[in-house]
Amino acid sequence: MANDFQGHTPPAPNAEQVRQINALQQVVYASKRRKLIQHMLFCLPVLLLFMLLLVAGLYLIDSAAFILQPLAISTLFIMGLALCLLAGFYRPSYTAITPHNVAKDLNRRFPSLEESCQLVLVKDQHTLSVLQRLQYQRSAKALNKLLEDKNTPLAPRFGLKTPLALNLVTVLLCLFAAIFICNIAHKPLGDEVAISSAQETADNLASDVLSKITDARVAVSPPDYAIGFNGFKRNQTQALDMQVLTGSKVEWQLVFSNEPQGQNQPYSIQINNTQLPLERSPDGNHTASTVVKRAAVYQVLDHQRRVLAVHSIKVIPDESPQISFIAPQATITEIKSQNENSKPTISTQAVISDDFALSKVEILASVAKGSGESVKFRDSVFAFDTINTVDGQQLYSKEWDLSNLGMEPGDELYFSVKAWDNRENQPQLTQSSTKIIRWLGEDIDTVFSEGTVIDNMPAYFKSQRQIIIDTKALIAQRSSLTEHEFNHTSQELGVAQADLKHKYGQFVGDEVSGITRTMEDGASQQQNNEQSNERGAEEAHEDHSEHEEPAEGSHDAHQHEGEHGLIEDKSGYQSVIEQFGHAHGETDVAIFKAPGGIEQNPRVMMKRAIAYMWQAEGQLRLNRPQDALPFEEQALIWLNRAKKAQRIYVKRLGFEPPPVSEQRRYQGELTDINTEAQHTPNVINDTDVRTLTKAIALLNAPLRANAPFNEQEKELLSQTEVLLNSLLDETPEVIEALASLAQIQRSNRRTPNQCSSCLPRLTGQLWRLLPSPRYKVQQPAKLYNDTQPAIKHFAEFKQQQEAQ
Amino acid sequence: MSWQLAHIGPYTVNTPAGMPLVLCMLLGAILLLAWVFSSLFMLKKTLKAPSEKSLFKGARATLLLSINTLAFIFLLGVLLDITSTSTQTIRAVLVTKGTTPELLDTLKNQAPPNVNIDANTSWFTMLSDLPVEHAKYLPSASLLPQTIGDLNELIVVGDGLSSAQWQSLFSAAKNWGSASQSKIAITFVPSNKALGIGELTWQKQLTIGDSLSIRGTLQGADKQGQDAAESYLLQLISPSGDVEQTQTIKDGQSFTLRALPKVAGQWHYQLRLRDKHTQALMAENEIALSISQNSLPNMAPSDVSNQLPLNTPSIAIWQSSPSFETKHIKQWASETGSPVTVVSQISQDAYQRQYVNQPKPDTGTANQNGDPFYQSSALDNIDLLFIDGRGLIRLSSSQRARLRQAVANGLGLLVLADGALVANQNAALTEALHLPLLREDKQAIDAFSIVYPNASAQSSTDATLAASAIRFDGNEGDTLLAAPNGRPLVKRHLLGLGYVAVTLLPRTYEWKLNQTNGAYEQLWHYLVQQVARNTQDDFWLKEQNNQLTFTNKQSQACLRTSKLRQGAHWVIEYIDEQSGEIAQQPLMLNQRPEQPNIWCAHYWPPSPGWLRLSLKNEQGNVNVQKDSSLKTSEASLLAPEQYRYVYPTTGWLAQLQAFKHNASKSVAALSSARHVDSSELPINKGLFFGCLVFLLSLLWIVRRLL
Repeated sequence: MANDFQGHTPPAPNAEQVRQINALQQVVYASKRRKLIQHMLFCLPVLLLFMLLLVAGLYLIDSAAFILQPLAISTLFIMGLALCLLAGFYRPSYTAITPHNVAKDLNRRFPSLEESCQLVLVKDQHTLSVLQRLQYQRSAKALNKLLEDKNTPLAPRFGLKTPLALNLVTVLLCLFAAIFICNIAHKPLGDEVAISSAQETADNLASDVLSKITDARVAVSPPDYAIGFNGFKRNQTQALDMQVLTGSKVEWQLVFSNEPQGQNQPYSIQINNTQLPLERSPDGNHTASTVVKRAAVYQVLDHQRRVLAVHSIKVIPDESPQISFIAPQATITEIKSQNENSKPTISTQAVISDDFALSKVEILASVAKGSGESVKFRDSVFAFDTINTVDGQQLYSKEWDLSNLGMEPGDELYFSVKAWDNRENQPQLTQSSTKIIRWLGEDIDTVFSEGTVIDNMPAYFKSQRQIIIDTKALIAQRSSLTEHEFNHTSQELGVAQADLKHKYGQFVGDEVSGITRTMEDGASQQQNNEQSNERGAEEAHEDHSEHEEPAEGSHDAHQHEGEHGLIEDKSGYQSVIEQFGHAHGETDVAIFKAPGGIEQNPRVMMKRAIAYMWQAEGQLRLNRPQDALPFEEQALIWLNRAKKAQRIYVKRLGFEPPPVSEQRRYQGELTDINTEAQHTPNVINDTDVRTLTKAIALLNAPLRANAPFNEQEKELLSQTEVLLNSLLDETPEVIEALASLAQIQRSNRRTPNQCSSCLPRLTGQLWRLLPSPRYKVQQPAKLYNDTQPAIKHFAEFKQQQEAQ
Repeated sequence: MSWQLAHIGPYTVNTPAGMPLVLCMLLGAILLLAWVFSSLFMLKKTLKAPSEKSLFKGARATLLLSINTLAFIFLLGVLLDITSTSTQTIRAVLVTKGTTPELLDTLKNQAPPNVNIDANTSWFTMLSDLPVEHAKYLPSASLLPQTIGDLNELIVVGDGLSSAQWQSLFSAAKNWGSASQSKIAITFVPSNKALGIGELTWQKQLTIGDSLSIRGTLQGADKQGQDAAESYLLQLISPSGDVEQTQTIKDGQSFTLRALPKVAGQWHYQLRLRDKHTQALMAENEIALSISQNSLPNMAPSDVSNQLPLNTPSIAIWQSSPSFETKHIKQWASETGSPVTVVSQISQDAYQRQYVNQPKPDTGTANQNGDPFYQSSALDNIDLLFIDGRGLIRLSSSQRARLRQAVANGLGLLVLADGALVANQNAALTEALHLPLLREDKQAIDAFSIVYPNASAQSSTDATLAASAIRFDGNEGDTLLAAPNGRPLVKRHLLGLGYVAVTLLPRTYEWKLNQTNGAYEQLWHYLVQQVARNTQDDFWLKEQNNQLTFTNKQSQACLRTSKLRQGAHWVIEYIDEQSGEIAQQPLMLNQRPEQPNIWCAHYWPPSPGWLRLSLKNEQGNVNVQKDSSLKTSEASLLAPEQYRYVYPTTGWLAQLQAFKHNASKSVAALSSARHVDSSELPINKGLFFGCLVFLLSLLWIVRRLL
């Protein structure tokens, strides 16, 4: 039998055995898989921790590099996984997973195999002993049963719970660690970026730091004609925010903290849209000079046109001469015919002054001879006889001998004083109001009753038509005249209109000859004591200068002053009323007569004509003769009507006929009447007021963050700047607002760091420029009275308490 | 219950409390007999001792009797209730702000003559910068009761306490009474009056067109030790720094200053008090003012010129014939942005309609069923309706009923009275529209200057206006305008939620034509506000005129709203004093039970300066999120805001002092008279017991050893 086994080819295993061997092989594979999974699960935490340390280290060392290299990190991780997997194949516990070991494991786990499962793996059964074969058969059956039982796992159990839990813990740990590292790294990161960017900026700007003015000297030299007057001297030193006389030469000498190399004129001054380069001298000073004629805000710029400083220049205007008559006070002075032995003489005295000096003073006189259409005028120029200094003022005097002027009783002398100051190139002229000296004839009645007003009207007054003619001629010649000539002529016409207005005003009760003061003289004078105090107000009305006056200021200011006389009597209006007892300013323009009555009141018509003359004068003084012409024509119309006083007078305002009874009303149709639908708003929008209001709303916002302005807001500030610049000539004080606005625009915030008072100063100035608000239609916002009786009674009780 | 046995000086001997009288007497008798017999016993035994000399016996007997007697006395002392009576005044002196060392020194002189300040007085101070000897610092007056306990006299020195502080002090005390009826005697020693403005009132929130009226009284400084000027110069300085108004004023004199603010925003006027002769600045106060464009939030003017201002009331005119008066009213109202509708009867049955600042409506809606009068829907959209007398009497009953209903729903009706109305006045018309009674009086034709009642405004002109030959009959109704002699020229009656007003001034346009410095616009601005429909929008109630808001002091804000907005909350925004950033605090609004449309909240402003009451949601301020080109009809979508100014507690010294002086004087005057507390305290029996034991021991020693 042994010989039968020797050299015998082992028989192939039967199908059953092959199946069992294959099944066991499957079990081996499954075991290996599980073992690998377990191995990887054990390796993963280690790998994660390793990666965490690596990533944290890289993040903290070079966060920028880390952020930019996610691919490298993930590659490293994958490589790590692969290495772990490879290592798993070589682990002893993995290599020990063999079919034999699996069989041993099955033997231990399943007693039914009777410790004989490994016999299945023996392919050549003949090598087995009988007992082994018997055992094999028994174990094979048991194994088959086990294989058929799908619910019984044959592969060895490699626990996964522990590694899974470990992985979970590790992942959580890594998450927390990552967050912690990020938080720590955030600040250093931010600081690092900031430091790096600051360093970068500093590096970039190492040669371009914003310079500062370390030393500044400003020398101001007024015009030559002003030197020696009012304390003006050559080369006076002023601060960067200066106040100078118009026409002064300003020279800046500045020293800066930074001297850019390679720049010839690194700094400049921008003033009135003009750039003045600052010349650099060898001693380090930067100088520039200019002649200042109007107020301005100027900025000191560097070579990159960055604003280093903002300052203002206020300009003191050169005032025109002031003329104040001492004698005669009244506009019309009458000299009665004396006997043949006494000479008709009259003395003229005037105080003429200027803020600097006078260059020329003369008297322009006209003698009117004759009356009516045959009146003749002869013009002459005279000089004052004497000039004395009284109380520091120059008093000019002249004695008129009417006979020497070739006058006769019935003739009139009109004269006015002209004075020029010593301003260079363009001396300013002031012309006083016209005084009238009337040499009364024997037959002229001096009673100024209403019926004889027109007959006693001086010949000079018959020039309203002449004013109209001259105005039309001026308008026609506008294109051929220079602006100066045009304005001058318009001003002269305004003076003539004012004279006429004053003169007509006398005949309606404004002035009566013999009274020592006129309405236009301004504030009441306490004889001679307070004359100097009132000169400003007086001369504003009395003297006619070339300065512009607001058109609506004349008549309206007159009324305005009258209506506010309760608080401040600057115009003397109240004192006049008290003196004469009649209400000049309060007389109704419209006289409502009783039904059936007929009245004529030329005085009222004259008042109306005077009102139109006010308007005309205002427009002429504003150099708008085309706007004055309609008023002049209306004045002439009413003057003519006043001459024809025999007329029926009706209500001037709003004639209201008696209501028509419904029975007599027409039954008209609406076919010919179109319903007027005004879709467009009828709201009056003043652009300037709107701009100022919006600017104030932007700036005066106490609970708005001090954030930089957006584009719309910058545009609004620019518009405000343009508006303020346009007002600079009229209102020099606006320069302060401009300076503040420039600071705010420069800092791009409402409250600049370097100027905390700029905002309140600017808003205050804008407030001042705004007109009084219009009263608008407003909806009330009240609490309703509760209708419950108890509450109503309580509300009434509370109201009574408050009333007490 | 105990019975008094003896009264020796401050001590009172009573029987033991709770012991019946019989028992007391029995016990007393027993004790007395015990003393007598024990004394006799000891005397007998002493005298019988044989070996002693008689002198020694006598001394020993005397000693024993004395000791026994003393022991008896002390036994009685132990057994009986002995109390000591003390009368004392528990006094506290509270030093408040404004106290000076000189005032403290003179406190004794100023205290009543029978008061000894130094005795039984506890000192408390609310000042941290003035050292007061032995005084305990109290940060708040309400801590005084719990610190001192019982008190029967309180002396307050300095400025005193405000009404709120007095109330909190009495609330914290149990038995002190109340501020109006104090059970403790209160003496107030006032500090020297500071020079300044007191009792100051002004409207803190205005709309453009309202005039600012500041009233107050000059509180002059005490002249003792100060050279007080007799008269002062009071200046009102505008936000631009210009002197708006100047008034000469004397000590104790009241004043009224007026100004017309020019533009909306948050502004400060200054009130400066100067010595009239030296022009030295004596006092200065800041008048904070919030001016809004209208009752809604302060939106910047629209960029588009043809866009109407928000919240402009709608005006309508119904007239039997065109007139100059309504023409000028229409012109003024339309120039200021209001939509105006004018319906004029131009013939018996033809009406001309004019629409200004609004699109022309469809023909169908304007004149339904041949009824030319405004429909109910149109009337509901009108805020003020002008109607002349002739037009009013020609209304049919249905039209009149429609008009009545509209007025009852809130429409304002202004009737231009004329002869036709007076001649055709009947009970039905008067009752239906609640018109004031009118009568014709040909003598009544006159011209008057206009007086606003209660000095609510001041006319800017003295020019007169003609009044028609009509008088009001009766005293009912509110007078809106009057003549200087008191004759009412415009009267107003309440009808439901709206007002009906009648004017006897037929030609107010004369003021406009005569250029009376804005008096015409002021007059109609005032009348419209008095008569027009009340706003339906939510708004914050204005601060009281005499109220000043200080940091960390309780303040109240009330909102009038029909319904609280959901999804958002009300906050106060302010600039934090420390950080300089905008901070906010929530406002917890509570509905008033008696006024359901009023919601109020209390807040304590933490920083001085401006604060804003506004509505916030998650994205921030609700109004900022709205489209800037808001249409007129969408005005109600904006949430109401209000600006208020918070003053630092270091400001308004004179005003605050005046408040405190008045409150403290009032409390002191109402407090009870000073009384003396007498208290009976039981004495310590330990001494008696100790002496008793000692004497008994001594007795035993003497008996046994001697």
